[in-house]
Amino acid sequence: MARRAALIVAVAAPLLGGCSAEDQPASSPTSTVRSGDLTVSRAFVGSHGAGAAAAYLHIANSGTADDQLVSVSSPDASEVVPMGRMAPDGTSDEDATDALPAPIPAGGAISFEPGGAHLMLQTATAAPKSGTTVTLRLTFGTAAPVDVHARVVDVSDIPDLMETE
Amino acid sequence: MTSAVDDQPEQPEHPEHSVLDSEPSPGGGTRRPRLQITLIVIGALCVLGIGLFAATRGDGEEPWAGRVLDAPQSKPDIVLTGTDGKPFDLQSRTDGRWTVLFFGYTSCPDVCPINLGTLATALDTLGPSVGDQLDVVFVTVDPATDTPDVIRKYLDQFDTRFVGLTGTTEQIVAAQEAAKLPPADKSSGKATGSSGAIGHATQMIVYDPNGVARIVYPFGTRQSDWTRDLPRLLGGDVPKHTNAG
Repeated sequence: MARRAALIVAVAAPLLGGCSAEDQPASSPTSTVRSGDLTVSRAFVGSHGAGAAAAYLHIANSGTADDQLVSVSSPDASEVVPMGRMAPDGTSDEDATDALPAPIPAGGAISFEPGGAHLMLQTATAAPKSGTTVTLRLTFGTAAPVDVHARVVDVSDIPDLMETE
Repeated sequence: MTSAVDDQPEQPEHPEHSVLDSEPSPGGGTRRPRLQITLIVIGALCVLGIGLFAATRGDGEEPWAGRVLDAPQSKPDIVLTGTDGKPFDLQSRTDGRWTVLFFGYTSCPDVCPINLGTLATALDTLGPSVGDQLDVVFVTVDPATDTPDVIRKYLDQFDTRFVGLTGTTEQIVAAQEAAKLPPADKSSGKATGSSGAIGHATQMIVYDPNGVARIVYPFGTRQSDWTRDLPRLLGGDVPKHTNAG
């Protein structure tokens, strides 16, 4: 099911994006970041202003060699805990806690997404506020490490960002 | 979606004799057709998108954002512990009121806050005409961590009116069974749609004032879904299961 949802997003996002700016969520995920053959997109953090927040992102591998997401850390969080498991086909099993390292197959993609595998941000002080950004530092097996600036959105706006169904 | 057509870039009436072609062409001719093709493709995709949208909405009765149940379900006859530490009899305490029931746990960073935050914001938008007739009841599936105090503090982040319940593991398993949900499981919550380390059913069940649920709201329900459906429900519109749904 997660796979189908991801497919719908993949098909629907450019479709709707070309039609109308109004259909794009106001808090549309931040711009894409590239590292070698990898493209990181749809990075955002859901926060309700307190407690743990969850980070989500999508990584596509346009190359001919497999790579892997080895770790995610953040200068804005005391700890980033991967939750859920990433299957080789990019779908996620939200019930496991061994999401990393996650293989990013050649020509494939992986998604951390609401309701699936996600990255839990533990903060020592205040929870991230919506409207700010959180820096996520990604390291890979092959590609160079990158910093992704994920926009923080209110949890109540996340269903609008999911673009499924 | 409705404004999609308005937002399209201007399409020439006769693409083969485009206005663009009659303009000075500093960059040479090769870029123009590509722009035209791009515009045409965008236009075609918009039409396709509108068609798909219409097709999914195209049955006679106004559809519900929630999932209409095949058969109505009764509100669970359970007594758990409220955030004041006192027994809470779900049926008697919510009798005659609309009730949204949801199972989760406070350390869940993903599904639970999204569900609760979205509903809380929608209720804010709807105001007291809806909020005063409706109880939101959150039952923890992690009673070891979620003491009444922890639950109260957690729910207050969303809405101080939200009711929080806990109990023994056996009581909570029984509560989920009574709500016709697969029990949460720390080791495996397969196929229930779940978050974090504790798999648990993620839908929110809406019971009418007679204690009957005809519709549930899956994870991913948007504020706009709640603000459209709740006034309809409270206004007496009864969700009916149809094959089209």
